[in-house]
Order: sequence, then structure tokens, then C-alpha cells
Amino acid sequence: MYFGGLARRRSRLNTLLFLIHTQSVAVRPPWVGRVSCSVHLNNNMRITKTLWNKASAARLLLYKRDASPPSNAVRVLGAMLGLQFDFEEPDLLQMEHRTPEYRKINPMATIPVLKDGDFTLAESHAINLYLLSKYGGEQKEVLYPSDLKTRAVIDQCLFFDAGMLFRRLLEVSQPAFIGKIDSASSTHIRNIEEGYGIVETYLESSPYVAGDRLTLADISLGCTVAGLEGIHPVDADKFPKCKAWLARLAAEPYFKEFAVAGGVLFGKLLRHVWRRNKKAD
Amino acid sequence: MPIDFYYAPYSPPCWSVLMVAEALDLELNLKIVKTSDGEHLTPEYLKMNPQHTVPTIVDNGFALWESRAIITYLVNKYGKGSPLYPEDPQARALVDQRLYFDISTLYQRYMDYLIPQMLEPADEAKLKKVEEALGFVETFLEGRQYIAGDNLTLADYSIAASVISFNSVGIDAFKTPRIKAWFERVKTVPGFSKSEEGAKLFGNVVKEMINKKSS
Ligand SMILES: N[C@@H](CCC(=O)N[C@@H](CS)C(=O)NCC(=O)O)C(=O)O
Ligand SMILES: N[C@@H](CCC(=O)N[C@@H](CS)C(=O)NCC(=O)O)C(=O)O
Ligand SMILES: N[C@@H](CCC(=O)N[C@@H](CS)C(=O)NCC(=O)O)C(=O)O
Repeated sequence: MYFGGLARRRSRLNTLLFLIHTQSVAVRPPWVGRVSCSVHLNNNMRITKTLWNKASAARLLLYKRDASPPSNAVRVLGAMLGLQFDFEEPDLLQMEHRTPEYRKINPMATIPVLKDGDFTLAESHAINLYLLSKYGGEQKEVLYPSDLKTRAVIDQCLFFDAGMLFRRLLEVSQPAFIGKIDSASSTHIRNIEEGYGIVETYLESSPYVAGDRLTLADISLGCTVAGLEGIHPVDADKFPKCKAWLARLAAEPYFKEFAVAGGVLFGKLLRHVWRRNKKAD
Repeated sequence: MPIDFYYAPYSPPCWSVLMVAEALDLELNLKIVKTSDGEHLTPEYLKMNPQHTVPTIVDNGFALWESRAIITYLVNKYGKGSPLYPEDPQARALVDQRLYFDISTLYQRYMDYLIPQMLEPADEAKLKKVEEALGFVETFLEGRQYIAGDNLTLADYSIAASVISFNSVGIDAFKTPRIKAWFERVKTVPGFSKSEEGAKLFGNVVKEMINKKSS
């Protein structure tokens, strides 16, 4: 335990940190190396595009669905960076993400998942931070500036997305997809509006959630809000800044293509499932 | 100038900040927020943090909340080069992935299990989801000493705070061997005892609320 008892001794600590740093071993997820890049989960899953990633010449493989907001956050960033992905599309309705094969890739059984060579990474926010740090080039400073305060506010927004805003979408979609509900309840709507209210406070004094420019935070929050709009659209009277921000984002080419289209598709999918659930009653 | 730290001793997300501050040898100006008295909902507090959560820090006028954003900020600013938050893209990505896993899966499923118990009996299916999430942690520890590699990182602090709080409400987080061995290792990190004190308070608050419901 290298920190024990040393915490108060700055200089010795720094030396130690340096030693540990230089000795740090490469860390890899346990499934790396056991699953080949071109794994096919079953016959329904096909690679929709076979392209090579320009930036790295290494293949990037993304497990995604078009109606999945966190998948779309990765695609928006990928497009902004000029990255090209191969795709795999596990059918969530058929539970293809809960198979032992998929769990070997991602034990949490969620999409998106990125494979970059033999490195596998789940979780959209972590994926975007990784893609930007590795392939971001000049965009790095634009989308995730090295100024520590700006960076911290971006992180804060990303955690707010993961811990609260996207939760409010799952609260509706998860019970719907397993046949339990056929509409959004008033509590669901209240919770979604509470989320919009917080986005509104982030936009209080700036056109984008973490300042004057579009950053990683807008990409993730924008994709989530676009998905939430498929459940309960943002009311311009109640949340004027949020509505205006969405319009600003929609003017970005990749946003329209992935986030907005994905949100519409998600809304359609949800209504389809609601109708099915109603009939089953 | 010390950093103002708005916190509640019983609040699990506050513990990781306490531990990381101690690891970085940072002085925090402790400001207890009595959430039971609505101190987090006053106009002054909302002006600082409209999301009205603890923990919140104010570092030289800069207000920041979300515990995991706070700990990454503290290392970026006061512990540059520290292996707690490695700079290599793949090593850092694993730490980030675990932090997001903690907020959206591990701690979330625990809250999903715990909070409804203030009103209704415990739902065993929700406990199963918590146990499944602990199973993911067990997987992370396959072939590793710590949550995101062979060094202690911020991921350990964040997940330790969650696990400490599980124990305080009687969820057995140590059914599997790797988590058990890992917890013995993290027990020796600076600030750990503060988390345990907080966990006692948290356990009592939760028990009291659950008992109130059934009486
Ligand atoms: N069977 C899954 C379904 C989850 C699901 O379909 N989620 C939605 C929103 S998070 C989704 O991404 N759908 C995309 C798709 O299936 O194309 C569950 O039980 O949660
Ligand atoms: N925090 C995760 C959330 C991922 C997530 O929940 N994705 C949904 C699809 S939109 C999913 O995989 N659902 C499948 C399930 O929950 O079974 C991220 O940002 O990647
Ligand atoms: N994701 C947040 C969660 C913070 C949180 O929910 N804190 C609770 C106390 S444990 C709180 O402040 N509750 C008061 C409120 O939300 O109004 C973090 O990690 O900082």
C-alpha cells in the first residue's frame, strides 16, 4: 500500500509516485485477446460497413443501435473526428446483448462498446474520452479543453448525464421493453422535466452546457435529450434555453444525422412497444 | 487557500472526496450541510449548485459538484502525474469506465434497491441486480490487484465508497473472493476510517427510516 503513512510527506510521495508511474504495467480488460475482432454474435449480426480507420489505420469496431442515445453520442464524436467504424448491431429486443458471447465482450451487457485493436471499452462517456484523447488531434483542445475548470464542468455534465439524465430515459424504456408499461407515467414525465430543468440551469449564462463552445458535454447531453424528446418533448415555454440549445445542436451536421434521427427512431420504437404491451393486457 | 468542502458525513458520494483529498494531502475547509434542515435548498446553496447535491467543492471561487468530477479535478489540479488518474489513454479509459460504471450501475442499482424501502418492503429482485453489479466488479478484478489495474486509482476510491456503504446497510458485498481480497487492500488507504465513521451514520439513518415505515 504505497500511500499508507506517506500522505503528508509531499516530496517523498512525489518520488514514489514517479517510481510507480514508470513501473506501471499495461492494463487490459480480461476478455481482451480471447475474442477476435471480427466476432459474430450470430447470423443476424452483420458488419454494415467495412472501412479502415483513417486516423490510426487500426480497425475501430463499434457495437451500437441506431435508436440508442449513448451509441449516437459515440457516432457524433466519431464523425466529428473523421473516424470510421465497423459496426455490430446486437438486437436488444431479441436479447442478443445478454448472451454469454456478448457478456465476454461487455459483462454489463450494454451498448455501445468500442473495440480498438485488442482494447475493448464499454460505456459511451468513457469511449468518447478515450477516442478524443487518442484520435482527437486539434479537436482535443476544442471539445475537451485542457483548462482544468472547463474540463471539470464537462466531466460534471457527463456524470450528470450518466447518473441522472439518461437514467430518466431508462426508467421509461426498460419496463416498456420487458412488457411492463404501455405509456409514460406522470412520475416519469415529472422526472424527465426535472432533468430538463437542470440542463436549463447549465445553459443559464452560456450557449452550450459547459461554456461558449460546443464540447463533449453537449454531445452526450444532446443525444440523451434528443432521446428523451422521443418520450416527452422539451416545452419551449418551460425550458426556452434548452429548446434553443437543441436547435443550435441540430444545426450541426452530425447531430441531425445521428442524435436527432436516433431520438425520432427511439420514440417510434418505444411507441411500437407500448402498443404491443397494450394489446397484451 | 483551502478548498471549501460542502458535505454531509453520512453521504456516500462524499467519502471518496474525503479519501482522495487525504491521499493528495489537501486541506479541506469542512462545511457540513444539514440536508435534513434543507440547507442544500437555500437560495445561496442553489446559486452555488443548482443541482443541490452534496458533495460540492468551491476552489478559489470555482464551484464543482458530482463526486467523481470532483476527484478527477483534484488529481488533475493538485496531483498531476499521479498514478491515481493515469494519463495513458487506455489506462485512463479503464479508470473512467469504472467511474461511469459506479455512478450508472453499481451505486444506481443500490439506490434503486434501498430508496423504495423507505415506503415498501425490500424487493429481492432489486437486490439481485445489486449482486449482479458486484459480480461485474469481481470480473474487473480478474487478474488485477485493483479495480482498473495493478495500481490504486480513483476507480478504487469511488467503488470503495459504494461498497463501504453497502456493508453499512447489511448487503454482503464479500460473497466473492476477489472483492473480499481487494477490500482488505483498500482498507489501508488514507482517509478510509473517515468513510467508515460516515458509514455508521449512514447505516443508522437508513435503519431509522426503514423502521419508521414499519411502525
Ligand atoms: N431488452 C432491452 C431493451 C433495451 C432497449 O431496447 N433500449 C433502447 C433504449 S436504451 C434501445 O437502445 N433500443 C435500440 C434498439 O433496440 O435499436 C431491455 O430489457 O432493456
Ligand atoms: N451508461 C451507459 C448506458 C448504456 C445503456 O444503457 N445502453 C442501453 C441501450 S440505449 C442498453 O444497452 N440497454 C440494454 C440493457 O439495459 O439491457 C453508456 O453511456 O454507455
Ligand atoms: N452523483 C452525485 C450524487 C450526489 C447525491 O445525490 N447526494 C445526495 C446525498 S447522498 C444529496 O445531495 N441529496 C440531496 C438532494 O439531491 O437534494 C455525486 O456523486 O456527487
